[in-house]
Amino acid sequence: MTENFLSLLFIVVLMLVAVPPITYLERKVLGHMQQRPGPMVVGPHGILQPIADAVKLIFKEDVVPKGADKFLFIIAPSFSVFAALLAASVVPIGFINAVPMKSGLLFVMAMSAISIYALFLAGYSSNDKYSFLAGMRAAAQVLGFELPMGFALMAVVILFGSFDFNEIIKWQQQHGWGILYQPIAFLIFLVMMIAEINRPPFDLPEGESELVGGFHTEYSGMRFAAFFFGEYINIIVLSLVITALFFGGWSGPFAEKFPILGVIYHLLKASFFIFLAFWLRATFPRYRFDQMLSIMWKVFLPLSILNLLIAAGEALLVG
Amino acid sequence: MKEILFYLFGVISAVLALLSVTSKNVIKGGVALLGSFISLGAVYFTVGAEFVGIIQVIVYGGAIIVLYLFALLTMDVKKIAEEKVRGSSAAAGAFLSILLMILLLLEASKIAGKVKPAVSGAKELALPLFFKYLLPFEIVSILLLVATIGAVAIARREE
Repeated sequence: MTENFLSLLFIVVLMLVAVPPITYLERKVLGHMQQRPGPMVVGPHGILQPIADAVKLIFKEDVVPKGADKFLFIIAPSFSVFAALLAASVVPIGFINAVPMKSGLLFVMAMSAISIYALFLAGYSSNDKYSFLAGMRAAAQVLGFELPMGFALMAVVILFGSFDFNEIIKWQQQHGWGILYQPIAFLIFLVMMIAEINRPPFDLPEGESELVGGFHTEYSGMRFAAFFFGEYINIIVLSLVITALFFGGWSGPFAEKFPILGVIYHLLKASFFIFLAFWLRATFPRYRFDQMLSIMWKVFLPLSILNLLIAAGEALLVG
Repeated sequence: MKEILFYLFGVISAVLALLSVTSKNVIKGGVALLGSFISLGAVYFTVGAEFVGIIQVIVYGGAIIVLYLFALLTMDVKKIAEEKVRGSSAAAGAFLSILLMILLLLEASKIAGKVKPAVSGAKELALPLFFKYLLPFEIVSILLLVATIGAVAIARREE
């Protein structure tokens, strides 16, 4: 029991502490990819930039716009942070597993379904047409990506025969990484993951060039920061999930003997996908709204359903 | 501890359900309904039916409420609110709700005290669904397909 509590504390602290450096790294990576240095002023190579950002956000005036739905406006950001932290609590990082749950994978799905209300309610309650449009986009986007994502996960679950992350990783230790069996599911899950965390090229609810700031146009100070804490924690959690499903999670050489290596392996593998999110942001232009919906519904959904057949065949062969 | 949480979440979900039907603002009503569904999921957790609780949150909390809210935002809610409620439709609604309540109470009294949360994992639920009760399951899925096709047909005709 105390072990679980300590693990929970570790995971929550890790998630909250990891966000500021990740925002710094993102700006640096984006900068170098676009042939500019990125933040350079605060500290050597701008390394203290996240602290400056935090100070600014804490002391910024907290504005609630006139005509806003006050109650919904205030609770909307909390959906983002709490859903992301709850999802983080069930994902094992090496031997650190705060809440070992038989249906852990489904729980992560459920929390991702809840976190979308942050964008939707923020958009609705702001009493601003840009936010409102962004909220509508967020709702349409969630209807688009949830089905292919669910079907892609269903395929891997058929293969692994469990929703439990630990069981899934054990299966991969015996039979080899999930991506060898399910490359299509990996591809679909990767795209849907980017859509879920609202990163480019699927950042339609933010769409600076079209919607000012999107759902967070009217937010300032810590409430604004809460959205981004939620978003970045979600990136970390989903990167951990995708490595657990397709890249053997904490498995690796000597991970059995020295459990601490497992933690490092899992975090290293996950950090590649965090990097990938930055990379995609620097590389791809944003999808138009109808393009996004049509690839979700017309390409990925049928593909993910077909993939179920492959998964069923593999499950029969491999067992 | 578990019993306290069970009743706590039960009361929360009932109160939020009441709020959702009495709220003047439809979006707030939708959010109250979302809270009610999530605390229902928590009620399942407290009795150990973890899988059912998560499915409750995914299906009702995730998909259905998003659809409701999306539809509500695209409709002209003020115009609908101004329309007068017809007595006949109110009476029909009341009759159907009372009928449904009686049916639910009758069935609930039959299974009261016989609840087995242990039989609530994915495997335990799937096996009877795909073997013993396959026919009703297939009939339900065809019904849903018919409803989907019907909805598409109605939407197309208006164009």
